[in-house]
Amino acid sequence: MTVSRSRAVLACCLLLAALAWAADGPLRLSTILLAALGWEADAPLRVSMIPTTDPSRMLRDAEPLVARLEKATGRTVSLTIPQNYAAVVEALVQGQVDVAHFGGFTFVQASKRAGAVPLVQRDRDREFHSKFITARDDVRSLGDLRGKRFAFGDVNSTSGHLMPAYFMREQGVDPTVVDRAIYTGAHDATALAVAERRVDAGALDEAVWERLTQEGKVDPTKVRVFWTTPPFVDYLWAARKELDPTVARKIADAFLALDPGKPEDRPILELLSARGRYVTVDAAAYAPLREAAVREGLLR
Amino acid sequence: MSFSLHGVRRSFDGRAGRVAALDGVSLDVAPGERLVVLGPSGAGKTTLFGVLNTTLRPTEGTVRFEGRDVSRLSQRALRATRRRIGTVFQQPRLVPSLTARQNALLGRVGHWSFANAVRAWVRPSPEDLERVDAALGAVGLLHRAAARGDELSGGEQQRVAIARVLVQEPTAVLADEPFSSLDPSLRESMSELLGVAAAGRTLVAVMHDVDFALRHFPRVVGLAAGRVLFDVPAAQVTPEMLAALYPREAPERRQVPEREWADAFACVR
Amino acid sequence: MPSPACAEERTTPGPAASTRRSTNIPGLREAEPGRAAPAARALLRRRRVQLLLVGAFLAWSIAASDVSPGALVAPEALHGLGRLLRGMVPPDVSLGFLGVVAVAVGRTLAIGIAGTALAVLLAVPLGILATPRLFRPGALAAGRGPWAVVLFAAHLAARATLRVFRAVPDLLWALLFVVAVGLGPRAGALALGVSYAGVLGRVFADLLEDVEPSAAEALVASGGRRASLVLFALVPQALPGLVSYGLYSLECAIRSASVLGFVGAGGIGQEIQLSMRLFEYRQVSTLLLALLGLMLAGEAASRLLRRATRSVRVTGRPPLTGRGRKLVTLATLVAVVLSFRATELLGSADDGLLARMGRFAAQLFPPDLSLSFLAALREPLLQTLAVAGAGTLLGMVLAAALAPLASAGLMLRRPGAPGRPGVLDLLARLLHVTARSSLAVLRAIPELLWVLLCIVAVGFGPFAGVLALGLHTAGVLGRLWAEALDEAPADPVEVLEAAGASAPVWSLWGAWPQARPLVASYGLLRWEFNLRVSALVGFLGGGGLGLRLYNAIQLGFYDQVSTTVLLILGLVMLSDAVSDAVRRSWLAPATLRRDTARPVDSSLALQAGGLAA
Repeated sequence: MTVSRSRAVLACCLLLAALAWAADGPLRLSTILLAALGWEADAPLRVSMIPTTDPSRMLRDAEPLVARLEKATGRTVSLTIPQNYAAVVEALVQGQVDVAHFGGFTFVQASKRAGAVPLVQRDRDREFHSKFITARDDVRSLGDLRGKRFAFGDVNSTSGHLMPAYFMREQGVDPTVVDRAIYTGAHDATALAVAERRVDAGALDEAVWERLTQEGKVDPTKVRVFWTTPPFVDYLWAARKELDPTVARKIADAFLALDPGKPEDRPILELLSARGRYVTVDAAAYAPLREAAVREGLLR
Repeated sequence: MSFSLHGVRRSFDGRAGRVAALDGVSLDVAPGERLVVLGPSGAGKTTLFGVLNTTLRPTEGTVRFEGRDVSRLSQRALRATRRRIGTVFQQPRLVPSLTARQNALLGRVGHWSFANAVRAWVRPSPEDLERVDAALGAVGLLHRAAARGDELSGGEQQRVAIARVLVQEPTAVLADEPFSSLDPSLRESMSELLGVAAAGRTLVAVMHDVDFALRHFPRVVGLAAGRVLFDVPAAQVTPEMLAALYPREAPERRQVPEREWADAFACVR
Repeated sequence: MPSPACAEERTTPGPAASTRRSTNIPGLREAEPGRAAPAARALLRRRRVQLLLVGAFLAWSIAASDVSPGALVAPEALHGLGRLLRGMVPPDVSLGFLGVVAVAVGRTLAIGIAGTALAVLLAVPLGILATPRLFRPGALAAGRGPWAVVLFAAHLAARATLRVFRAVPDLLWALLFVVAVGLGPRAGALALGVSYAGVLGRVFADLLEDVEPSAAEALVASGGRRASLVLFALVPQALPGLVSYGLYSLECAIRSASVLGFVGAGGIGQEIQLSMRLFEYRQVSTLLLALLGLMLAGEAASRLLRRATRSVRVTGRPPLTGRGRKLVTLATLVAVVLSFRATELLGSADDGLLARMGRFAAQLFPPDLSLSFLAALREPLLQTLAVAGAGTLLGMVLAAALAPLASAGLMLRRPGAPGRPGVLDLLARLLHVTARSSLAVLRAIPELLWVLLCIVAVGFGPFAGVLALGLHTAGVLGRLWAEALDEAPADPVEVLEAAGASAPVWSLWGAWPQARPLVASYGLLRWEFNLRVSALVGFLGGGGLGLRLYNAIQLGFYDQVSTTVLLILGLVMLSDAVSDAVRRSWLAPATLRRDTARPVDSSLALQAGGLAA
């Protein structure tokens, strides 16, 4: 009786210990194995992107881009995509990331805190728009939003929060709609929340909206756009201030060289939802964005 | 017959194997009869009590109450039987957070459907209230009717327990050492009250206080090791019988005049 | 005459014992106002006012939290739920994902174990410092002079620290640590460590305060110093109690660990939150099954571990001795060390942890007390209160419906009971099993997961929060209430049975009046806990302060974070004070203290109270 009980106790504790180890072990083991295979070159280039959609899917999709950047810089590239926008800003400020894909507002935050260096952006990013969508018949204009539940994406998103909120106020939408809005955390999550009527309306990035309708993820007969914002400047690639300028140059050039005419470039451009070519960034163009953020109380 | 037991056996699985607490007990109790069961502790008195109030099912043998075989009854019929049997336990067993009046009202539970029980929770029916106040008056506790069960003294609690039986209006009353938790000074007055409760009803009491039992009950059953040792009128109980019942400490039997018993239960006759 | 019947008295409480338990308010029920004592009348008046206030609050909370039962049966809700349920089968059992689940489960366990161990480590010094008998002026072996004043100040500080540790919900701790040390299990372990240290430290201080003083007095008499007093006379007596309470909380800690992930603190919660956000319902159902398994395993493990600590009173089972005990001790140590490693509290390459926490803490000051921000907090604050109130009410209503069905005494025929078994018995058993298992499921799914599921049905907003709190509360309270009914003292119940009462009738008149104080006390505990949770459900779209907090963190406005945290802290302390007042005027002294829940259930009671000791 006593023996079997103490055995049961021992077995239970060993199981606990094994599970605790399993949580710890395999990860370390894999890094050790990779290092042994010589995969881990010294000082990889650390790249990050704001999670505009599902981070794990973005990671998978970004493989050709990573390969291109590795070719261009001659260094290994480690891409990390955290769970929220703020983490990318934080990582760049802390010097844990060398190059990052920002939204307009996150770039403003990063340059304010750590002087991020703008590199390149898609030509469409210079005149970007947010789409206001709904699945309700009684929402036809901004005025109909009074008393309705509204969804933004991430609180730090330019096209998913800052600019839609800014324009809503400018257009005289009932301020309680903005005050009581909820945050889905990502553009595709906003679209699905609207489609499933968990909210009455929402605002999101036009590029993501196009992709979702093209891929059939959202039925355009049920969910429709009822308003589009005036243009504003948005996404860009930027580098940490301390990054070697030659490396930064190489990266910028790699993007600038992407050509929709070349078949080998087309998948990468599609992935980045770029219709045309990449262009250099004019940092001064972000001043209105900064002003809007201050007006919205999102930047101090 | 009020109670009729035939060859009742009840065994329990204990550490030392099966133990027969009752080992072939047969007993007939006529309606209106008063009977006391005597015996040392471990004789099976409490088991017998459980079998009589139908909460314990005998392992063997038949138990009849008012002619019906209890073990064959459906649960509904069993409940109907139970409400005809009033029980006074060793401890008063009141619900501590209810008032004396509500506790006495609980004698009616066997008569209630669930809907009635809910209604009684909100407002008892006038008839029930009348019964309760009459019973509380009979046990002299009307002035304490609003006191909580756990605010009453031990004697008061046992009086409420008796009022509860009065309210139940059973045809038979069972009492398991009803006074053992009480001060000796209270016992006589309480036995008087028990007499009130059992007026016109069969009364079966289980006791260890031989003197008291012989004084108050006309029929005496001696129970030892789960068997009936003797079953005689009180007047015929001999010291030898008691010696056999309590082997080590045979109590001396006092002569009890018939009259004293009659006094105690004066209201009965 | 010797009383042979004495042996048969069993556990029947004597009249003396029951009188001691009474509230001593004569004439409270069926009160005759003219005769009631003035104190009793004042109490009656207080109760009436409290009832009125509580009723008004609940009515307001229903109105203010957009409760719309219609939304539950609207076509969209059914469609959304249908899509969710269809999407959940079959569970994702691909090898790759099972690997993810295994790591998540391991991490959750590691967070729970490391958090509890950390809590015990923190609780010992804080608990000693917080013991009044050691540091209050004029206390046992108190010194004199400036040194004693300093120590007394430290004592007060320790008590305040423990209070804050307890009052800030563990989820909020997790959120703060996620910001301070980054996403992942480390934040979870730290959050649990701090939040449970608040409880364990208090328990340790209470234990030290209650320790048999003779040994201590002897030491003082022989001129012992305070340090030796602590080391030799008090701590050895109190430590086993602390350890066994710590093991108690382990099960609870593992439960919490699975929830903390919803705010990014690692473990299975984080995976569920992620899969849910990405609409990967098949993954959600796999994770859900893993979570259920984890909860069951946690219950079993903590039962086993408790038996190793000699608390027979607690487990009702004989304790482990000799070799078994040593093995358990050893394995516990190993598990703790491994958990510390797995949660990166030990042996992590990345140092500067304390520096980062310090930097974050510095950014919290000074709090943003600008009027405009405070005004912006008013609405979410009210919403938080409303969600907690309406959620608790919903939970109580559901629990009241399910608890009687889940009570074994009421629904199940005792083996060997007289009377023929009937069809009704079978039906009752069926109902009973159904009710019990529904309660188990309601309980096993944490509130925050319920929020995500309810959002699918009724959309974002406070109503989703109300539903989520209500469903989980129903699971916990339903079981506690069923047990309170089952464990009501049997003697009066047997009387009613013997008088021919049917099970529903004796439950109403025998078991319910006796279980009432415990039922009320569990309800209050749950309210206190729900307020802590409702402050955070907004994080996931359930309305309330949580959303403000999340946005402030995301925007890096840490002064607003600290204002919100202070507000939640104040709200929690206020609500605890209010429910203490209610407790005092409604419950008998025996049920007053929150830690007097029956020992067997303390793990559940902890859950009910969310460790709100």
